[in-house]
Amino acid sequence: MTVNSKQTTLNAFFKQGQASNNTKPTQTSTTPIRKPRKTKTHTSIFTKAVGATTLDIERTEPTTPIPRQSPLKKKLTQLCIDAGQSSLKTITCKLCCMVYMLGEPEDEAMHRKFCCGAEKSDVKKGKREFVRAAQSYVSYKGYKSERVLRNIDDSKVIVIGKDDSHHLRKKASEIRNHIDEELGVLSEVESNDSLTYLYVRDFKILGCIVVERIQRASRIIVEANLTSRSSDEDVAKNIMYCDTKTSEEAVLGVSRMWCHSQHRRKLIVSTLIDIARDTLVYGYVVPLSKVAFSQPTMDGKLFARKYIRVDTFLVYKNTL
Amino acid sequence: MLEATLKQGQLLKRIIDSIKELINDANFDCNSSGISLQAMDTAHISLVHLLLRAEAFDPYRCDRTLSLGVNITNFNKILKCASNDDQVTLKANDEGDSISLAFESGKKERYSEFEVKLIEIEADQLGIPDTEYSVLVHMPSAELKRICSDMAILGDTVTITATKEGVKFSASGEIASGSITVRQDASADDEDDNTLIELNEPVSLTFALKYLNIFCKSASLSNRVALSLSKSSPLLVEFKFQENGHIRYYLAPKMENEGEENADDE
Repeated sequence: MTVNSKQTTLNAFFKQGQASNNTKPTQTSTTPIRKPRKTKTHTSIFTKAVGATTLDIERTEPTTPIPRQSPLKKKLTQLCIDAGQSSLKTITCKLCCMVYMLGEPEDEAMHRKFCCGAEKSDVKKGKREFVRAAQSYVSYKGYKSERVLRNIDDSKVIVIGKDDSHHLRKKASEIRNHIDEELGVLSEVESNDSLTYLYVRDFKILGCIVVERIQRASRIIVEANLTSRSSDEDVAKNIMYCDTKTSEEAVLGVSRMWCHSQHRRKLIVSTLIDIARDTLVYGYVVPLSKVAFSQPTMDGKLFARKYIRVDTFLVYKNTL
Repeated sequence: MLEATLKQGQLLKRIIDSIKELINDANFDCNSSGISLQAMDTAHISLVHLLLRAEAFDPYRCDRTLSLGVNITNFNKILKCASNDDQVTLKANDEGDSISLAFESGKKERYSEFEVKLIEIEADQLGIPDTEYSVLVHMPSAELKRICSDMAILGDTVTITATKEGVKFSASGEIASGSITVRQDASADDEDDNTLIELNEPVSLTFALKYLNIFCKSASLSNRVALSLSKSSPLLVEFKFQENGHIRYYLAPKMENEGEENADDE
């Protein structure tokens, strides 16, 4: 009963004319006391909101508390428990290597955007499955004037140099930008003397190297605790030094090497460098000892060691 | 090797049933002193700590520390196959990839066996710091459950204000606002019905009712519940089961960003 009578009194202030009919029979001795109290609180809000809720609007109770409740809700932020759990720390995406905070909506959105836009979290199953629906490939449709150096099964190796057509050079710079983004290299310099070798299959670029003619390169100094038997991880973590004052003669400088993440360890880049060694200088195969790399990434370092088959390899200061 | 028999299988059933909404996967850490579980919900807002001492089981045997990762939802499904008065036996090998559950009915006329596949969960054992709480409330768990479900009608958050007058649970929402105050009362005949409040410092904190209502599912595990509040630390809701263990829930509060000038309490 009391609830009912309350509600009718509440309604009374929305539509006074009507309410007076409704409230009359239910009015008890207690309601007059309540009534003036309610009028004070409700009318004050009511007048504030009067522009929006005119008297013609249906008698719906929620109209009054909304202006009251919404500022209160906005103010509250849910804290979370930090007991040092590792999941609260930053995680590194295995696909795109982006470091971000799990559970932080902003970070997760940013990462999703970055990680090829294809990370799908399966919320229904309660699992966060990282599904890469479509890997971003740089397409290569083929050009009339392309220089195919070698056909390997269903793949072909193409070289693009400064003398090639505008379209080819455009494609070369497109893949360059793609690689630079993935490697985290910032370069604005447009180099002319470089040659871009592409490994193409099914109109998609699977691997790419950018090479240039160089004169000299420095040999890296390998830390004493590294032997040829050291594991890949040790090698990758080990910091490299090189003495730039002493340099050796070098011919082939590999400025960029990149392979699509789904096609690694398939000798694609090795093939590309092999071909580059054959074709860079006419009639001369560049020996392994005269191949130098630009400052390599951790994966690049492992590759260089394996490719050169010596613990140390040459590095040169990348001008590209 | 773990072998633990629980005379009253419904204890385990209820425990799992009450935590299943909070956590998906969790590790049961078994050692010679008992079985414990610690997990957080995916949003890191609440933390569950379950402890079942070895005394709760008869017999209990665990030679070396074992960590058994299970999917709580699936585990719950299996446990649903047990009747309330069944005796539940948990078995796991040191190197095994599954945990075996055996249910034996009270009259021993039915014996069921299940094997649940274990999963690898990367979970770190978190040290929960011992906190000096400003307010400690012991109350009947049914009472808390009722308060939380009543408050959920009003809104999605509850403000717990502990003062000398008592502990006030208040909520406000679109349809109405209201509060329930519990006061110190040690006069009940049954000790379980008493409400005891230890107050060192007045505290007022706001919590999400969604979580509190999930915690209150454990009210069936224990007649009593202890709430511990302190400013700037999570709320602790503890249900003890007959000295043989406990289930503790920690819940991070909701904090206000701005001043309180707009908040009006009626």
